[in-house]
Amino acid sequence: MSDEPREAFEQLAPQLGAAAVARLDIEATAAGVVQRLRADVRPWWRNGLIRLAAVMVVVLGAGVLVRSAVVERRPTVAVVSAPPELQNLAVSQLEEMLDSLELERPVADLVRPGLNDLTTSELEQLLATMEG
Amino acid sequence: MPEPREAAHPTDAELIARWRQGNESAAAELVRRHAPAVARFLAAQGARDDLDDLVQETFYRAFRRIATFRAAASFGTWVMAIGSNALKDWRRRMRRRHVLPLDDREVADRRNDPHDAAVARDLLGRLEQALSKLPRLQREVFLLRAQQGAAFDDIAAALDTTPGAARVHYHHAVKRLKAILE
Repeated sequence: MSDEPREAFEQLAPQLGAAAVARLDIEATAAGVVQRLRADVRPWWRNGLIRLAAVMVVVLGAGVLVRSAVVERRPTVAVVSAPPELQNLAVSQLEEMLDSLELERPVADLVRPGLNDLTTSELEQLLATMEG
Repeated sequence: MPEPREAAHPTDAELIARWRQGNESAAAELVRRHAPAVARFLAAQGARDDLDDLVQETFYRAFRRIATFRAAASFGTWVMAIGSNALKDWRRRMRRRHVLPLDDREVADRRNDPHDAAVARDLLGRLEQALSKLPRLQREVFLLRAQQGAAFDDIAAALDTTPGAARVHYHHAVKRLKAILE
């Protein structure tokens, strides 16, 4: 090894790979590169169609997501109109009816704190819901 | 009357501009011009049997991303940096490394002395093996400088580092090669 390794390396380094390069077919390499690049070039209308298809997929996907979100948020309790015979009952009579339903937890306990604040039609709706 | 210089021997920048306008022959000319140096650079890093394919892949990648090329680096050095990445990916795919036995290595004998040629062949083989033990950045800087004769500014621009850092990498590469070979 030389005392001046830098100079020795710099003299040798240009010879690295020289033999391998002698076997390189430069024209075939150039032709191959051009051929691959040419294969990448698509007609403008094909690019346009691909973009259009991508936009449609995005729009449809967004539509499905929005639709599923709206359906999930829709109220699951149906509002049922009360029978006509209940419409003439007083609040106290309605409370007795609620108690007579013999639920595990008295309905009056759940609703009583605010029961007096409800209107007749609201109470009728509540009853109809529990009966259903 | 002599032809204009651009038509007779266009610069790399002119060929690149033509390729950007869709001129395929400009791309082919750039390959012809730089493929030998790129091939030597890759072969020095161990590419052998796949050299043709690897050089082609390197130029294909370079032309695909030509929009990112800035003239801070020379085109050839920039392509070599791309080649190093291509070689790394290639090796990852192949899961094997092509290292020929020393007997298969050929050395250009400029001295016509069998003994000197044998010594040079041996040293060159050892140098190539030692290069494979260097960290990637040191190896690339060493080859771009010592094999390709690139300036540190050019190397720094191609490898996205500073000229000072490139000099340090080169210094460490030489020091490490010397230690390995001793």
